[in-house]
Amino acid sequence: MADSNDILLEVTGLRRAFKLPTALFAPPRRLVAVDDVSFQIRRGEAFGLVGESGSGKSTIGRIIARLTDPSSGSIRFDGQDWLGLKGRALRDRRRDVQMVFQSPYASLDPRWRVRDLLAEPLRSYTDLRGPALLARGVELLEQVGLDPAWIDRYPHQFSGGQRQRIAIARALASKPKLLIADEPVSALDVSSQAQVLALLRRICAEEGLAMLFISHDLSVVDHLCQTVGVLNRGRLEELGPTAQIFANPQAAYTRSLIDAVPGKRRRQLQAG
Amino acid sequence: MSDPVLDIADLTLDYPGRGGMTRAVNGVSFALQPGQVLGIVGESGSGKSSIGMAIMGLTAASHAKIGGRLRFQGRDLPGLSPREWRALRGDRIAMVFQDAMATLNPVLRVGDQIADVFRYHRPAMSRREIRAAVLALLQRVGIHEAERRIDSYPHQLSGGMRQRVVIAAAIALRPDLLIADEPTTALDVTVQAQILSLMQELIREQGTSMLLISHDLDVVGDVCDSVVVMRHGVIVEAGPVEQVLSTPQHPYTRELLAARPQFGAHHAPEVQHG
Repeated sequence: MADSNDILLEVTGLRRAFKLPTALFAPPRRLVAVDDVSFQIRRGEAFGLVGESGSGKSTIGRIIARLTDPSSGSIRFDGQDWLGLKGRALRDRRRDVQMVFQSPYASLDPRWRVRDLLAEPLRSYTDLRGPALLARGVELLEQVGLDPAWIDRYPHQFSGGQRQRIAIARALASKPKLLIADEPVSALDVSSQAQVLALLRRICAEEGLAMLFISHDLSVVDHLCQTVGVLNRGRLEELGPTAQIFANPQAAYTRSLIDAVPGKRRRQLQAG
Repeated sequence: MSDPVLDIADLTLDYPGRGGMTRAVNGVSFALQPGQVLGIVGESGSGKSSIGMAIMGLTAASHAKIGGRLRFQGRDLPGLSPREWRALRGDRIAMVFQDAMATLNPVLRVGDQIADVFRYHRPAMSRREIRAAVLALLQRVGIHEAERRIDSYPHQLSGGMRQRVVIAAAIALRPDLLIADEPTTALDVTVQAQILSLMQELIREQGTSMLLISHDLDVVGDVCDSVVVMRHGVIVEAGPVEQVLSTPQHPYTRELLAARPQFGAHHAPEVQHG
């Protein structure tokens, strides 16, 4: 069993409801996007959150990243009341939790050079300036497997996979303790997917970085995450070690997700 | 043996660009037999989508030059007049694209967009007949409450429902050839599985042949009878799906197979604590 020092993130009873638009005088309708969700992420652990569109998985990621607030529930991060942080204290700690989004086409400003894209988080979260800042930028590029000679290029001069590497380098700039990756490879083709996944896996191991990996792709979660939570309509249906849950799913919903994984014919052919 | 639906030999496609022509497809040959499903697999830039566009006659707008043989049911496609193209497209050959939101017109009701296919290709049909046909199609592609949904706008539907509408329009006239270019890439796994099995049912029912263009060998493996693997505009490997998946010959095919983590293999690394 992990002792309490091993726990980086502890989410308890998280709930988020949205008011839906209705006609004037019609009774208000509410959508419960996240419903009483609790889980823990240990230091250095890759935790997969799987579910269909609309299951609430992205909302959970956004709440933990403090991009939106829950309706109720509590989060402890690194021994601290994470939802209680406000203003300057929150700004100071944002460095510890960084996000990588699905589309590197949308998340990188097309008018900024790589140099500026990397300088922005470094200026916000570190004391590095001038040559030291540039040196750290170069180091980050090398860490994500990009040629530092490309530092003066613009995002459109890179492929989708390379852009996602730039987005990952930006997320690493503040030396976070938790990386939230929301469908980070869904917009990429298979070969780039494999490279970006290998990169995430290597970086998490090198840096002892924990990761909340949000995805609808069970094969990828199976490959990357030690622990998985299966989310259905805002509720956590199943939670536990990935190998165990995918080999022996208890919830009918988990079984239906597993049935939908493409590649049946290939698995049959390679099994016998 | 019957005549192939699609007969492609030494196909080349050149696009004009700065500094001359760029060859997107370089000497591609394959045939698609009636009722069969053929997959074209490759990364972005492999030329796989260009082939679909050429079959649909959609490369003329980009002033692409087509070389080699491109025949549909024995007819030479590049030799068709624009009028002959319009008669063929949407009627005998139909296409489903990745992005249903971009395929559908956001300001038109979905029922009207499906009805357009009938209005254009079957001018003798009455409004009542068309509405009945559209309703039947919506029901066939698994849209609940079709009577209500027929008057919805695309943004009122989910991504999976929108793709069902696009498929309904594509199969409306029982085409002989359906080209599906990454039809499920924008959808999540469960919806992807539903849409793929719907497409399989429909083409079996109608005897339609399908060309499935995808970057995902797992999807192609589940759906197709045979597969063509493309890279940089050329075919590196082709054959029956079972053969290519179980004994890939070309290193690039092996690379593509290895790139996709196998579900159930449990590779997740242990967490180091210390």
